Amino acid sequence: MRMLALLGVLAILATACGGGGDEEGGGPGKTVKIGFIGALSGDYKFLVIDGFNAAKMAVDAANAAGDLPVKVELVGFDSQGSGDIAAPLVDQIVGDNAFVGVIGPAFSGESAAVGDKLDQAGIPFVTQSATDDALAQNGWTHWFRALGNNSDMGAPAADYIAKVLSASTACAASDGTPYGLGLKEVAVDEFGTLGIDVVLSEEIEPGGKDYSALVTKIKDAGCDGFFYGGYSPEAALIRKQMNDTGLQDITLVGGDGIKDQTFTDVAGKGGNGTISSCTCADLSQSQDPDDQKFVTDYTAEYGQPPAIYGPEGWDIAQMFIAAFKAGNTDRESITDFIRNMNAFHGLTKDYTWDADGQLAPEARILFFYEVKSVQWVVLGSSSEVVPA
Amino acid sequence: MDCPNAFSTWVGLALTGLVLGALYAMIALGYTMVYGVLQLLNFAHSEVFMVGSFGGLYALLWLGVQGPRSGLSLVLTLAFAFLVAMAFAGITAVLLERVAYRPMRRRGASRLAYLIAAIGASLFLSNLFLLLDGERHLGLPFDWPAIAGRAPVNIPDVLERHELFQILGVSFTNIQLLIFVVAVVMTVVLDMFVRRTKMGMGIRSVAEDPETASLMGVSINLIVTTTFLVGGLMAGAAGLLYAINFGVTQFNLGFIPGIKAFTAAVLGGIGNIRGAVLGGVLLGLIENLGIACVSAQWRDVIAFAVLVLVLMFRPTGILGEQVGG
Repeated sequence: MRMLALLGVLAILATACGGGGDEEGGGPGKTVKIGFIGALSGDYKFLVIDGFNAAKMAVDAANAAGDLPVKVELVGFDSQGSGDIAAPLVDQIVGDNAFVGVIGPAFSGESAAVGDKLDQAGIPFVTQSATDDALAQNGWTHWFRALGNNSDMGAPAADYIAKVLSASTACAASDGTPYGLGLKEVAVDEFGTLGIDVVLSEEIEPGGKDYSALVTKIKDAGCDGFFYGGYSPEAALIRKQMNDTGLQDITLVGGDGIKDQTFTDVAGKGGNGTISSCTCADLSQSQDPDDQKFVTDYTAEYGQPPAIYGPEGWDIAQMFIAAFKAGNTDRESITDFIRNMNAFHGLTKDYTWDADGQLAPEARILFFYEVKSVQWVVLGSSSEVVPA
Repeated sequence: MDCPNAFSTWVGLALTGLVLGALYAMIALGYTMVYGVLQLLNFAHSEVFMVGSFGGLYALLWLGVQGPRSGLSLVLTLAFAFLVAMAFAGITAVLLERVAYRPMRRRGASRLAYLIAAIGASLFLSNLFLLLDGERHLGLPFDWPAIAGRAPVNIPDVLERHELFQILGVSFTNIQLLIFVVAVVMTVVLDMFVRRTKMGMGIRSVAEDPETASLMGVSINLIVTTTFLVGGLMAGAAGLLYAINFGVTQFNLGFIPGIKAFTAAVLGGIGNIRGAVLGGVLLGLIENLGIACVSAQWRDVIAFAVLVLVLMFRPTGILGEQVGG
């Protein structure tokens, strides 16, 4: 008797499980959600927020146009750039079937922390700014990187220090994060290839204010070029403290992580002359009408022109919108759609993927930027700026 | 191991270490005095320091400081900024004692309860300044006043940094001089206050034996309030100096210096005023000279290894536990 009762309970449970949680069906009126994971506030906000704003603009425009089979909702998840904070946010996304795609995670460290979970859930996730080379070696089949990687960015930065700044010895430092350390290692390797002596190689602790020990060591090393792999809050303080120690003449060269408003805000006038080698596009000089329309619309909506990784955020949102238009509304079919895109035309580049989810090498772009009058200004593409 | 080539580099590391040490010492005094009187580890002291730096920032903004000043205008501006920074921090410290600690003391709370309250107060203050970014939070229908926020806030360059003279090939700047002068003057005044004045005698008596002191007519509440106030004033001045030196302040400004200053207090002998000063200066030097030959990421490892070694041989710190000792 007891056995029968138990079987009965099990049967009821099984039916309940089978019947629940199934809201598939498609058709007009269905809402699909795209998650945006990145630092939407805090120290790293200015590296990420423009991408979110641009993606929001793209989604709003697509919904308003009325030719989508679904209603799209973009949901921001503020990870502060930290894997620890991103992990529970990703649980929310994975557990909600309405989420069919992710823009981000924006940074390399948080991508490494949550990538397995997103990949196993079958959610297509396209990062607009995570550049650590190692991310491509995780075997993720739902991951795409809509820009170049640390190797694409670090080697030209070292070339710039050697050929444009004519440095004969170099100092290199990083914040020890997957992104910063990876970028520094690429630059150090390139210095080796160029025959430039790296006389100081250091890791600092991010989040502090006092980098005087690093600066003292740079002075002691007597290098005339300096590469920093890391983010803007620390880079700006290092720049300031270098100036305070009489090292104004050593140009700080970094990657995309320093090319934001936090750097110019904190470093002030002392930051002028700083160079960023960035896999981010600059549309301010573009003659293309689509680019110009984007810049005008963005400026009208948010009161200032799009900054770093804004256009990339727009492009990725357009990939998802194109997938919806083609009738794909579940995680796997959207992943297939994105994977099979061939030269998908975006504002910043035409997107074609390699098998590992990275951009095909010919699609990757790199621009150099310099701080002039406390503003980041584009110098040109790497082929224009660095002599071969 | 890749040690610096030039002797001047060692001098440079020592000099910046001393600057840092002077700041640690000023903060450590607040930890050590409160511990001496109440046996309380006031973890919120690092946030008192942070509030002080913001007080100094508001003072500079209120005066409309845009760029460097000089002469009398500089002296007056700095004096006003220090007064405001110290007032902000002092009032915060006294309020903290009144709101968080005194009710517990009246009910005879355990030391563990105090400790948890101190951690709570610390989190409360830093998160309050994080949320005060002028935006709408918690679904409230109005905007908060914009006071701080998440991102680092720039301190106006009121004092243009320039080299005063060189010591063994290392430049010594006016800002470093300012830090040393303020730290030395305030520490000496504090030492005299505790040793020479009646109130100072009261503080020492409460630290030694609160029951006997209160039987002798010493007002414990007044002594405790004064101790928090004095510690707050020191932390406020240190907060402004720290912010001027590094050019920024932020809601979490106090976190790292707070931990370091607490370490300095333990190193020198917690409860001991001269010990806190000695501990601060030593810790600053150890941190900077310790990483001369290895990467800067080893800084905390080296500093805390030294702390553990000292405590193994002198469990009460270098100078032992005794207020005024």
